[in-house]
Amino acid sequence: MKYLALIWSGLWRKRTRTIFTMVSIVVAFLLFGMLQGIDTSFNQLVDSGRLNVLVTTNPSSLPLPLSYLRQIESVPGVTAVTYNSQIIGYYQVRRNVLFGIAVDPANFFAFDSRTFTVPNDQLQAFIHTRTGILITPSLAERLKWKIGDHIPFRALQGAKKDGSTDWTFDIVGIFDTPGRPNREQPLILMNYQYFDEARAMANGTVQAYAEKITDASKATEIATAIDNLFGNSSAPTRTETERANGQAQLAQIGDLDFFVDAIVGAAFFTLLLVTGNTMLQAYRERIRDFAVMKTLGFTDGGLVVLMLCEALLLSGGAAAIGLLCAWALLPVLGRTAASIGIPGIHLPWAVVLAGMAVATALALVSTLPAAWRVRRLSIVDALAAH
Amino acid sequence: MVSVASLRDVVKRYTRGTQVVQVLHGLNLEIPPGEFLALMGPSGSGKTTVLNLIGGLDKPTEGEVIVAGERIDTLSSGQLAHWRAHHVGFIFQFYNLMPMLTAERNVELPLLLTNLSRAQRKKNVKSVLALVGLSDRAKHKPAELSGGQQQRVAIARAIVADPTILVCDEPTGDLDRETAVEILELLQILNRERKKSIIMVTHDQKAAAYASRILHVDKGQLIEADMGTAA
Repeated sequence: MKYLALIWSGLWRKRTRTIFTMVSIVVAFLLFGMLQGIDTSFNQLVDSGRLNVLVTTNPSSLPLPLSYLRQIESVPGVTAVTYNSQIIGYYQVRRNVLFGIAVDPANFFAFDSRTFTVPNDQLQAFIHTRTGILITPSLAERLKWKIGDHIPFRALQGAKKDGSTDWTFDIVGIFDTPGRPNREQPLILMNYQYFDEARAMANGTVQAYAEKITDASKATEIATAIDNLFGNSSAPTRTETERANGQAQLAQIGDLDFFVDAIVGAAFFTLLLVTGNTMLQAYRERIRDFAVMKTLGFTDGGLVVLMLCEALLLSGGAAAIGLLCAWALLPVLGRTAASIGIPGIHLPWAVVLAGMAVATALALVSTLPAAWRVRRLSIVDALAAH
Repeated sequence: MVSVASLRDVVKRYTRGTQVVQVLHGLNLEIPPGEFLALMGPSGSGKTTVLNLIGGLDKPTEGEVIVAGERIDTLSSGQLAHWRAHHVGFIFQFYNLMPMLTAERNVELPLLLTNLSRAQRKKNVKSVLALVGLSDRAKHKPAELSGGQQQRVAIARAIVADPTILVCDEPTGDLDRETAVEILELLQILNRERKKSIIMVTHDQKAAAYASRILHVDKGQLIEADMGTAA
């Protein structure tokens, strides 16, 4: 602590340069925090996928016949099967995007009673109301919906038999997915039977089946058995674990990890050059000061530690500000992202810790050239030359 | 009496590119405790080299350098730094203060290397700033002080850790006559009242006159001067 004034004064010797360097570090760590936060939320979504649940879809993204249900149920190792179809639309204005999942009410909650929770009276209402829907608590809060509301839904794809894309539903309950990232998604669960009867096209089909299996270690074997049932049909299937399915969906966006790593890597490399150059400039301007401090009895190692502390203060302080900004901005971005179906964006502590570790490494590496010169600095030559 | 500084058969050679320049040629010097010694001589004569050797800033090519009872030419760089912090106070021509630190923070610098408490450091700083007559300028930065005031701060910094010996390289070289006299009188007080041994390099005959002994360095050899004009 007794060296703090000395370190602080060294840091602010060139105020403008320090401020500019700080701003560049703040921006780089803001970028790091934002991108890593988004990447982590995607990864969490994938990781939340279960290994004992298989998902069967059509590899060509077309729907699958509902008639597959009985055949899939008969595959050894499969204990329960559910299915769904999806519809995307919005409420009143386009920014109020809604993801509708049409399910068999009784079957769906029996299948996923741990993941999806709903009070029994509301479930019964859902089962017995053809136009009934269940909504997420976040959606209820955001759109100020409550049970009993009669809401319009304009489909973006999925016209009704009368040619209209306007659907109407009755909110009969609020379901939750505790502990899962999709808790924040603007999801509505609707009655498949009503949905299928009303829609103009693709009647009698579903988007995906989900199968619960007895043994996760036999997932590949069971998936192959399911796919073999429909291998020669007009609608072949691809069955994989829920987690693998999530990864495949994410891969459709692109290799997000690679993009994030590439952008962050480029930003940090540039930052390393900027900070290293700043430290070298600071060293050159302070050769005389360092020589005087050595004269007074500061050791080479002591001076290197002081320089390192200065760099740590600059890098760590700016990184903390950048990550703090990311922490403040991510929930804002998260609310927007959740409304378009990307849930759970936040800044995890692991990213904050990784950021601070990167800031420390940045300080260490950027100080190296200047520290090396300080160690080699000859007092006599430095005082004579300056 | 044991000398505060002894240079025995000291040879110093510098290598500049491919050229080897010999600055000191088997120089011998004994400085008794409490002496105020002035080293004079033309540029390049080797007087600053002598000062650097006594201050532990440089090492001889040959010979022995014993200061404050320790043979310092055999010490490592780290040991020398530690030794300097405890035994030598430096005063430079251009003050060499830290521009971003206040006068009191500059004076406190050598004390940061000690185990003194913050309160004790403050007390010592206050005391030496009072001694050099700058109590009212403690919170000022070097740029806000005159040349003479800056040199007083440098003197306060040099004596705050109570060193055995003060090494002064042209301490009045950048000051006007009146201010130079004030500084030299201050050095004389430190020598006479605080019993500090002082070695001062100067070009100025009038400044040298404040010393108790004057030596001329010429071509790497020492020549005793006549002290007829001593103050």
